[in-house]
Amino acid sequence: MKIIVCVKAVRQELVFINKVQQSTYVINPYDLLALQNAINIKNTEACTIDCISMGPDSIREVLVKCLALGSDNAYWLNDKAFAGADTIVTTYVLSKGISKIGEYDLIICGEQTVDGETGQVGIGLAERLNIPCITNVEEIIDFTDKYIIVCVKYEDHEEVLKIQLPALVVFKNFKLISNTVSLLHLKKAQRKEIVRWSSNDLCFEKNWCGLAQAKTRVVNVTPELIVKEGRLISGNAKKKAVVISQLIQGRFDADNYG
Amino acid sequence: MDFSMSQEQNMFKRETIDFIRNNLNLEEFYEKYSPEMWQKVAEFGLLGITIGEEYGGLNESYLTAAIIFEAFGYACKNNGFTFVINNHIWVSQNLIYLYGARFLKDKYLKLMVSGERIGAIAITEVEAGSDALSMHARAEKDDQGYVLNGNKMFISNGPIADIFIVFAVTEHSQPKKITAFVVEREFKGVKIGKEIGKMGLNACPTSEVIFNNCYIPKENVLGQYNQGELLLTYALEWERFYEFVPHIGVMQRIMEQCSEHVRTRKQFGIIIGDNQSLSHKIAEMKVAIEMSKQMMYKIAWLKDCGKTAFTETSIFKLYVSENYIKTCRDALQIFGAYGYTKEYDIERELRDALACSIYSGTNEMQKNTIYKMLSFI
Repeated sequence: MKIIVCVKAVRQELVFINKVQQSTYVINPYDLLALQNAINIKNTEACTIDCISMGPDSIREVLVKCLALGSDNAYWLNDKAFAGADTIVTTYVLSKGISKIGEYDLIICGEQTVDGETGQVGIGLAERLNIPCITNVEEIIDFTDKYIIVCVKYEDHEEVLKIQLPALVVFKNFKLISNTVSLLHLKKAQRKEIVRWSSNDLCFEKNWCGLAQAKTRVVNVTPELIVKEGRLISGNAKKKAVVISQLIQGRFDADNYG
Repeated sequence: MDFSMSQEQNMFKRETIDFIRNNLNLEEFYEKYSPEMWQKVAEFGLLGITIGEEYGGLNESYLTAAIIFEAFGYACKNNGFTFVINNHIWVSQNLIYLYGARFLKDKYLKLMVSGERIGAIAITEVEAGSDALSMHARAEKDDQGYVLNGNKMFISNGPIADIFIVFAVTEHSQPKKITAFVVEREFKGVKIGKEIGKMGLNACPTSEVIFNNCYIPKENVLGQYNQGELLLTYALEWERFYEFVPHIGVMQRIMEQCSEHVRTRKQFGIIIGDNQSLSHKIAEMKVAIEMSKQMMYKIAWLKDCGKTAFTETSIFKLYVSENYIKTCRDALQIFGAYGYTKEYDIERELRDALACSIYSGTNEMQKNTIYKMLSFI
């Protein structure tokens, strides 16, 4: 089985608001979960994982980290012409890169990135590659070299779907902390070659990509702080138990509590 | 000279800092040893940083190791635990790797690099501190090996170590001849004394180690028979470098804490950093850090060239330790009453720091060495 994981490098301060990490760029948390799911498959089944990422010169370390975490190969779509790409252009460049890699069984994406927040790349990429796509994936339940079975979760229900390969799945959740990478894995990853492709390597004109072709522009991204109202339950254990019971049963009268 | 770090060194450094901050700064273990933390460090691959890949190590340069251990001191607030790791790596495992026979390397190194065995060095005795060569521990030779008798005092890692590098008198001539041995905790006649309570570095357990008719196989001689004095100088050279490299990182961490404090705390309507009496203390910290780093790079370079750094490591030890203590002492003054409380880390940092003018040869002994070595320069 061959799995391709699409990874984006994002600035660390967008992920770790209160906790400064040493690297300027980190793996987008949604993609980190996607990669983790690919690694979970690799731990039980013979397969290879290729990570692919489009980004500037400064993201090389993120790809090294992908290799250290368990990816077998890393492909880096790196060209100044790619700068300013929106999802339409990104999916175009990624599809070209994936086609150049060759045959694959499964492509895994994270639902969105913490800097773009569009959530369109997975779906758009599947469309360009003309393969089926499942979004909102919570878990891969089973897989063979012909199909995978996934659990898809919605707010009010969940579905178990079987999909023929090759296909693209989009994981809905994210993962903030990557597993510890040992120095030995890091050293081995640093020795591996990262395949770097420019627009020339992907055989398309520079003016077909980047800012020139982008239909949308992300002007700014700011984290929104949502503060939920809390209420302190006072009184002895018995009184607290009554209140909690009422809360669970939906019978709690907040106006008369006190 | 090129002072830039390679991309690989930069990544090692960053990964080490992130790993430590995520795994090792657990307050409940600031004053006691944690086997779980030891296991995590072993899995991270730090123990075999300069050891060959055939023994599970990374085979990195001494410069890379210095960069990583400076980062270790910077990120790890548990100075005692840092001390445990350095004792294991530099004055136990490293001696076997550099000076041990093939048999010793094959028998012990993989286990030490993987963290399954913890190492310690045993030189000091009750009556033999700075004057280490006046030691009384003796090893009598017989057909199959040696019988070791004696007590070793203030052995860092003593209560947790599995492998001891023990120095003992093997010939009572004048001057005495000394030999180094690799002694397993499980050897008959090895007894670990009660843990010794200390002022600081409490995450590194310390004890007496007693050898009573302890039988050592002849293969466990480290280096050459009767050449232990030379090995002792090598051991101290490694110790005076790598035990003190993390202190540069600690100084950096404390300086940053102080810098933030003086920029945010106001008294008499101004931030206290506007008072030169405080800002100059921080400037002095920065100078000490930079000067220590320059020396660190030079010694790492010497070691990577396979050269001796006996005088340089004495100078380094003396300079870093005096400035490490001064930095902590000044930090306490900058933080005032808050620094003196247990709520803040500064009082513990100072308690941990104070030992460094004593261990690895007192600072007074370093001055003797530096002065004596002038005649060789």
